[in-house]
Amino acid sequence: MSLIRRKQSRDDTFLQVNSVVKMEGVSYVYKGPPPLQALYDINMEIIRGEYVAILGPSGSGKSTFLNLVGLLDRSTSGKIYIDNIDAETLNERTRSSLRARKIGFVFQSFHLLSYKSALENVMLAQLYITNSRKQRSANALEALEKVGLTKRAYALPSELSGGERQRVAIARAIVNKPSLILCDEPTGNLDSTTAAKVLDILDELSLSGLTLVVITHSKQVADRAKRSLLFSDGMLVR
Amino acid sequence: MSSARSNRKNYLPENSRLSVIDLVFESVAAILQRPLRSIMTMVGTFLGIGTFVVLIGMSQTVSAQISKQFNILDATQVNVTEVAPSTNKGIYGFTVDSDKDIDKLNGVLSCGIWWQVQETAPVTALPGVDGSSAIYNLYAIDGSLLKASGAVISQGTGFNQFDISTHQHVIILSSAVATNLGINDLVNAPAVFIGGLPFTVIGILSSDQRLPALEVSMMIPTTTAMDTFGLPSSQYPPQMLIHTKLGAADLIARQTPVALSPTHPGYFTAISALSSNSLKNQVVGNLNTLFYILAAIAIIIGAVGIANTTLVAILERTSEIGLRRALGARKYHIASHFLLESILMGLLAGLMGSSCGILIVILVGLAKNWTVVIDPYVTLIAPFAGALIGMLAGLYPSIKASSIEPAEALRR
Repeated sequence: MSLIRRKQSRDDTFLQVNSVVKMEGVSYVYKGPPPLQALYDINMEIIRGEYVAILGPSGSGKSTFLNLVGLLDRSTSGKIYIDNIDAETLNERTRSSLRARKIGFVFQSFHLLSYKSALENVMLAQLYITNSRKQRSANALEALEKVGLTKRAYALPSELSGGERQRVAIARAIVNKPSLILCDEPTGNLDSTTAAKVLDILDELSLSGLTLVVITHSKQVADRAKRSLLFSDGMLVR
Repeated sequence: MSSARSNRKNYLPENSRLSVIDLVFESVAAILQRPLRSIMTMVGTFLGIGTFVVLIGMSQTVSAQISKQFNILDATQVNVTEVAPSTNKGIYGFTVDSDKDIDKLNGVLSCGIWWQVQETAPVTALPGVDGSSAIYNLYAIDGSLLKASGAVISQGTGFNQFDISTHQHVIILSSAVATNLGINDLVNAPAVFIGGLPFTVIGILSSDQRLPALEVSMMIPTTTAMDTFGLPSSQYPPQMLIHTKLGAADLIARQTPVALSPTHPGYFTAISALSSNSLKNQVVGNLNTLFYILAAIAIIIGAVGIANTTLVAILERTSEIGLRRALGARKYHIASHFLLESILMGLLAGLMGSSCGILIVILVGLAKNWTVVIDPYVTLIAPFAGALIGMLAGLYPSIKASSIEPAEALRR
């Protein structure tokens, strides 16, 4: 009996090697009051290297989905696998570690620390992974180079344009070489020309083999993705 | 099974970590990036620790000053009390020649005998003099006591040999009693009535260095006191006060019982005031207690200030907390980060507060020409007390910061 249970556990842990995100019957209820069900029985899978756009009107559950995939919140029921690891069974400490090493975030409002330079903001993503400041600096410079911001490495966020800020945020997201990058309206605060440049960078990242999940309202963004998932009233409808 | 477990162990990433050096760097950077906010946060602790150091420093300086004043008086004073009951040799335990016996001792400047008259009755001023009726302590003193006790007679005179030998109904009032009785001067030879008996006021005493009780009392000659109110009671036995040369008090205290009664020196106890510093210790102790209470209040106010400002600062930095959590920081990392910020600000504020406090104590000491006394431990401990305040004040805000859910923090 116990052998069977152990085998199941092992099978649950090691799923398909190509799956980066997998959800099985995931639901989420905001406790409230009053309680509000934001997601209903979500089943989906994102394969390594995919570029997926998450679409849907406001309140459809997109952000809740992102929070769950990004391990920023726990589902009410169901299972979520990140890089084939059952994230719902992990304790907070391991989830933090998984988040740091496997997931990169790009937010609409950039979320750069105003008192740190572009380089230091990128280094921040490695603060909780490596103790070597020298190593962090080298990795951060490499990431900034990928987004074309080497020359602006020592500028403060207040000295950067909106597009440059978002590129710093992208550099921060990729510096740990994560399995998955989650972007929440990455071009929401940018004009169309700057947005196009940022999307070009995301395209390049996708072509390099990174898995991208982008939440967006923009058709321009969705068109660049290889696959779109549409949320409506907390349900995955496509 | 063990294979599955070890595979799983290998497969999971290493735990997030944050070195102490990185923690310090992050905290210092956060403090420096909001200088005004940091200064405002530190003000509470700065004032608390500064006030603490000033109060402790002033307490110690003033205590030393009081001790100095006390010591001069103490070193020149001997108090003699009677142990055995009155003998038949004299009118009371001390003989009529006691003061002369003591005066012969080398080092004695003056001496006098006194006691509190047990039975006192309401005192009124002479009809016609505007005043009130009240009860005051009445002392019997001999002619030389006021000189020995360092009394200052502002008006009139003390008792002379005629007053003593003829048992005159004369009285000396302290200035406080005279004022209460409406007696402002002695031009019209005012009198007071004690239990209906008239006493002519011949002097007004304004202060007394060694017997401060006389400053709120009335004094009559010892001979008159015994005539009118009887012998001294056992409750208030007669005492002798000896004023000595500086440094002679201990020696005189040892010699006095023998000088008073060579056959029965044990009948008297003579104590130099220097050896009984209870009053001084009490005064200094009370003063210190007062200062310590004030210092504690100042520190509590500082701690509440820093806690409040830290809490507000954390609410303002919710999005940063969310970001750090998203980047892999554990709750423990967030709590340590904010706690260390609070500790560092407390330490810095404590350092500045204690420095300013010491400076203030020195300036006051210079202005008052006092010898500045500050316990070196206070100056060493004060900055760390600031850090401790920072830690205690930052504890709740740090725990609160670490409990913010990352998804919720990023939404703000």
